[in-house]
Amino acid sequence: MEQEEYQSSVFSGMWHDYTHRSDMPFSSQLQEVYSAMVAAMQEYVDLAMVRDARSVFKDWHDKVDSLTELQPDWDTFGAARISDMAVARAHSVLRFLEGNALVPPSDIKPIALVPVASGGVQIEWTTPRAEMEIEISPHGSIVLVVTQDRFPPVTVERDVDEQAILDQIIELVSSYASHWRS
Amino acid sequence: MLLIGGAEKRDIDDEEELLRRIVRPDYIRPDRKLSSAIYKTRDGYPEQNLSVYIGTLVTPSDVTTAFPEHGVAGIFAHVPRSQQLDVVHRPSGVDKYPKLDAAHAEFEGQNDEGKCVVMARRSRTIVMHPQSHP
Repeated sequence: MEQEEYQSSVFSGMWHDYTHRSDMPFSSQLQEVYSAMVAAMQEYVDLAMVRDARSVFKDWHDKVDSLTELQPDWDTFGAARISDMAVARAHSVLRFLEGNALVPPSDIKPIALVPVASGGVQIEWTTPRAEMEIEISPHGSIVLVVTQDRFPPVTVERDVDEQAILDQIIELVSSYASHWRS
Repeated sequence: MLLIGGAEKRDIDDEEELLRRIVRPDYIRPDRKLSSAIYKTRDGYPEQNLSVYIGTLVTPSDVTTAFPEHGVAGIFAHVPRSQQLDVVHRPSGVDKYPKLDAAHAEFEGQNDEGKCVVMARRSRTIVMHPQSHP
């Protein structure tokens, strides 16, 4: 059953259940129907967000997988093969971001995901006022770099985890949004 | 001046543009900025032997003639120097691409992720990678 059909049948069923209860005053019945509908709508929005996130991030997961096909010296400067640990950690970061319920996927999708000659993976994000990138080393550790405005100051944080990455993205997105509100 | 591999080794002025090969299409982002990954090499940090070509000795088309599968980025010598990296003319003496070898130079010193970002932001794309976004 399609999501919309399912949702419609849920609403119809709720309406029938609540409005046929003789033990409740009609106003209470309406209130309960309203509350149930709000809860169902929220569930629908959450489901849609997760579905949207999976759709948005699928291409990035595919990109990570494609990096495993690179052969040693893929840059002609002697680059290393992209390590399995870097690939696994890149998937882990993407999964963590797509599973968050705080920021719409369109706001946290990367602008670039590229191989690094050392055998690592780099993911980059951008807003008009700031940029951020993570470099995942061949051993799976992560360095976070944030650049405010067009040029330095640049901040570098080492051994960050997935939560720190999400927090930083949220900060970038919210600071840009507050800039436009002010 | 020193003679190395048949080429004269010379000082590089701050205002000379250095050419760096763009080895992958995705190193040019959809917003046209360069990924800092163009300044990262196999050995990680500190960066060792990051190769560029002196732009007054070779043209971008010399680079793409030798490496038609790559694009070309430009960066002025004062930028890596502002990041405490030396820029040294180091002709390689390898005969495969004599003109490029004579113009070969290197960034030396303690590089890190932040410096790579600064250098990427202050670089320009001179020749698009042939497989980059149109």
